[in-house]
Amino acid sequence: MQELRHAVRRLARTPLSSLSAILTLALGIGATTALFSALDTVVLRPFPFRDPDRLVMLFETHAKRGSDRFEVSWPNYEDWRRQQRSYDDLAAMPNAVSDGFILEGRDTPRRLKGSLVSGNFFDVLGSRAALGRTFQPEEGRSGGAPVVVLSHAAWQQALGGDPGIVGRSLAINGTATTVVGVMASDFDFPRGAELWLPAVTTLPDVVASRQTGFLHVIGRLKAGVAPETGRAEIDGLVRQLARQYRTDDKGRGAATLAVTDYLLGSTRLALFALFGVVGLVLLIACGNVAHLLLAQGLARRRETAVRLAIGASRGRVVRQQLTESLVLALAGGGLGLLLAAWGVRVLAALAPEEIPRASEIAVNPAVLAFSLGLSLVTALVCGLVPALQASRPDVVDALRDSSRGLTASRASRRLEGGLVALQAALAVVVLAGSGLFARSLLALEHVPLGFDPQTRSFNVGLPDWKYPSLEAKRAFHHALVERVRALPGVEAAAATFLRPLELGGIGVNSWIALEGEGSEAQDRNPSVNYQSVTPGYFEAMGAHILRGRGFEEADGASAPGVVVVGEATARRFWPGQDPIGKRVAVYGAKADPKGGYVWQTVVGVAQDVRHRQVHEAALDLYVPSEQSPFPAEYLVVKSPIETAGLAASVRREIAALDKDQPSDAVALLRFVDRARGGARFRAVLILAFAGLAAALAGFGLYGVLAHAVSRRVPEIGVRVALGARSRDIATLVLVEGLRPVALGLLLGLGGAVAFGRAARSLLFGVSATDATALALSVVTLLFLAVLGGLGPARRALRVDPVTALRE
Amino acid sequence: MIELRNVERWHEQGGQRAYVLRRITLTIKEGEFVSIMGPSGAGKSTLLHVLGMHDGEFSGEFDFLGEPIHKLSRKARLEVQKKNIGFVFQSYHLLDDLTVYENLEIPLSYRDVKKSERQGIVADVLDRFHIVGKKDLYPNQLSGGQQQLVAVARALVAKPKLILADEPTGNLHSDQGREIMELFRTLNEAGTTIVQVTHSETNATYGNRIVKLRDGWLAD
Ligand SMILES: Nc1ncnc2c1ncn2[C@@H]1O[C@H](COP(=O)(O)OP(=O)(O)O)[C@@H](O)[C@H]1O
Ligand SMILES: [Mg+2]
Repeated sequence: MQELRHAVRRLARTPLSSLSAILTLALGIGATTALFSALDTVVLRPFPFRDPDRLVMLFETHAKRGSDRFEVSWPNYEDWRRQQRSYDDLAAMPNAVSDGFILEGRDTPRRLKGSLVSGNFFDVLGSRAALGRTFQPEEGRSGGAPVVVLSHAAWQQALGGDPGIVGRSLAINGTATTVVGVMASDFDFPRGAELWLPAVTTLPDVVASRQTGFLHVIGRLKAGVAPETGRAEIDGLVRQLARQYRTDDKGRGAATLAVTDYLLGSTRLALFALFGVVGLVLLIACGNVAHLLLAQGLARRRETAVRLAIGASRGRVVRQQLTESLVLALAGGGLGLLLAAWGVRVLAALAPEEIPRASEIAVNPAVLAFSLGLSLVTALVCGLVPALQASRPDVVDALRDSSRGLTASRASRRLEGGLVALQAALAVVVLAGSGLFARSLLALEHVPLGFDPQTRSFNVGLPDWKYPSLEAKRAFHHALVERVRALPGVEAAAATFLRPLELGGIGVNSWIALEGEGSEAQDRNPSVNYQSVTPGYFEAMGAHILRGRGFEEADGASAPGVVVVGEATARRFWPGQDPIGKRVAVYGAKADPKGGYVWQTVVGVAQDVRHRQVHEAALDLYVPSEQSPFPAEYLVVKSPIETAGLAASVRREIAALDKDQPSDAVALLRFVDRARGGARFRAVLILAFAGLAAALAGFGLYGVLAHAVSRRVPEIGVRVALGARSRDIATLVLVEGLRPVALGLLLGLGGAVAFGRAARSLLFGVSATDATALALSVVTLLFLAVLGGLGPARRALRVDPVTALRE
Repeated sequence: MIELRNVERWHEQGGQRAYVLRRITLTIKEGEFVSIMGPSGAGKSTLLHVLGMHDGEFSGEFDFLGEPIHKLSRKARLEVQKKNIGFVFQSYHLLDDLTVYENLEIPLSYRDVKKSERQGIVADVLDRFHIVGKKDLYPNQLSGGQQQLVAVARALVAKPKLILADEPTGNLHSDQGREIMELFRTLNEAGTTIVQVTHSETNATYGNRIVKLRDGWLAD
């Protein structure tokens, strides 16, 4: 207690430096705490499933195609489920949520996002409804009464939070469907789903085929069964089923992914990387404070020596020093917590959609505990070395006229040099890391998308109950496209099955066979990204046809089969040849119901369009809608008119054809932004941290050098008296400052490369050892070092020998 | 060589001027060996620092080899100093983290003497002062006397025209003191002008003139 009082009194005696120490620590602890909140909420907190550790996602793999994450077909899923014994049960859901669920009977029909899941979906997850119940076994079978489970958000927003919702009947896609339950607000699986309907086993042909993989399968491992055992069993089943039902051999197998990894994707690595970076920033801050305490300790050497001489124990001196750094750290931590409370709001606002639970990031008790613990650790890190150093002065030396030596003791200078080197190293890692992330973002933003992001899109997916046949749907879309094209200002319009970049890497995989290719070669063909589009699609998207032609009205259902391929596809399958006129068999285009090959002719090559991922072109293959089993879901429109006016007139045209078809207007830019969101989030955060790191390191270096110069005034005086010129003195000061910086740079470069390697999967268009990023970080740091050294160097140049050498 | 006219030096103390040197008018010719004597606090060191051009904060006139030092900028003044003056400090002021050898070398490197030449010169000086065996030691490994010896050697190493020494034998036993005085005499005979501050009558006899200071005034 007495120590506390002394500590506070002492810190108050140097208010400016104490305040700057507190502020420095507040920034470090605040940033670290804010990032911990994100890590805790997003990554560390268990997802709302029972024993989430036992949940895995199951995929097929096709080794020969070099593909490790194929979706599973419905019949295969059912066979797995029946035959496996490693899992309590397997559930299934489509690979993407669909916005094709139209809720009617309210003022205006509206679209909801939903998922047709297996009846055991919630049981396998072990998630219970917050209101009502989830599905019962018979509800997953054909003929069961139609039921729906709603998300908390859908209940609140679409249904006004109606407290009596359970048991109500809703008109969903023309079917009276009973609400049996509402999930808790933290249940968000698959991401974005607003409702869940039990999938029934009577499925349309295309869905019932073993060729159509569209399911993500969720398995709950039996207690005590290792994930690998479970995977190996499914692997065996996949082979067995392939032998049983297929003649091809694509090297099929199975892969698993922990459900938390499935949900988090690259977010876990990204947040850990950022947390690591912010930890380095905190260490830099600690370095500054440690140096401050060290300098004060030196200044108090004589006082400490007196205390030791009159019998104070070393432990007591150490304790006194540590109490001081504890007071600083706790004050900094308290202020930091305030900063963190503000910081988490910034984080939540900046977080891209791909980060789950981002809106829940907040300062909670776990975060409070963390920041308290962090403050204590910080106090130790900042205070221990200065405390030990202060408690060990050479008593005799310190008591004697301490100005006898011209320079500070070698040991304390080495300590300061070490601090500088460490800070420089840490700063280089942070700066280089920020360079890598910033360059990744820049590269991502300069990727040619292959389409105009200003293209507008509207959902026009039609419900089966109202438009039961493909023909009926095609007729609607055909008429709509005609009407929209006639609107003033519309330059092009078309319909398509999928919008680019909407589903985060998911699309329709299809396989193709080339004419004249042996079956072994065929098995090795990589899958293509299947797009079904109407004539005018390329014009509406602003994607250029490079050779041949796009689709025309003449490419109808009964016309000869045609396809357009992307550039990458052309290069992959017909290297050095003209693909126009080549013939391919495409599963999913004019499919022969008996499974034989139906040959289609390549009529055009289109520029690669980033349909699935911004950072990687897929092997695009386009089939005319009229020749595809997939109905169009979206209208794409190219128009220079501002969105609101266009959206209104397009909606009018949709309503003119069917007044009950709700449609939202979205510019494709939205999906582009979303696809780059993760990279932008990482770049923005790390750049902020890098700024902080640079400022702290520059400040720290300035402090060390200023302190060094002030201690060396007499020595500098002697040197001037001996004839040293200004440049000799400037060199002396700068070299002393820069030598540890140079050492730190070397260490830091090693650390930066290690960081780059660890975060490699987050990088795009830049290698982990990117020379530009490394060089920039070095140059920045050197610049800071020189900047930090200028003031002290100037001060050194003004040293007058006569005042320095008063005898 | 040196012409002081009405040189005064004071310190501000509580808004008042505390004079340390009063109306010093003094001529020292090339080749002289002058001893400044006087009680402690008389201003001897202060005068020496003015002569040594470390101190520019004086009033009055100071010509050195015909050059008006009082009119020069700090930089120009230090340039004149560097070319002409070697200084022995009262409390040695060796550079702690340089070896004896390096301490002797540093004035040369500040004067852009080539490395090869430096080696020869330093070796010579080490020899002359009989400290060859100590060349790799650090100052704190030497006795006070040895440190003073090195400090004197360092003042000579750049072959100055003028040597200023502030109690150069203060910490030496009489043998060593005599050695240094002999050395000064030899240098003086070879043409180097020497001004020393000393309390020792014996040392003063090595010189050819004594200047007395009392309370900042020249006394006769
Ligand atoms: N910077 C200063 N401020 C105030 N007084 C000073 C300063 N430097 C020297 N003095 C005073 O000037 C006087 C002369 O000092 P000094 O030249 O060192 O004397 P000496 O070398 O003859 O013993 C002393 O009284 C000393 O206290
Ligand atoms: Mg004196």
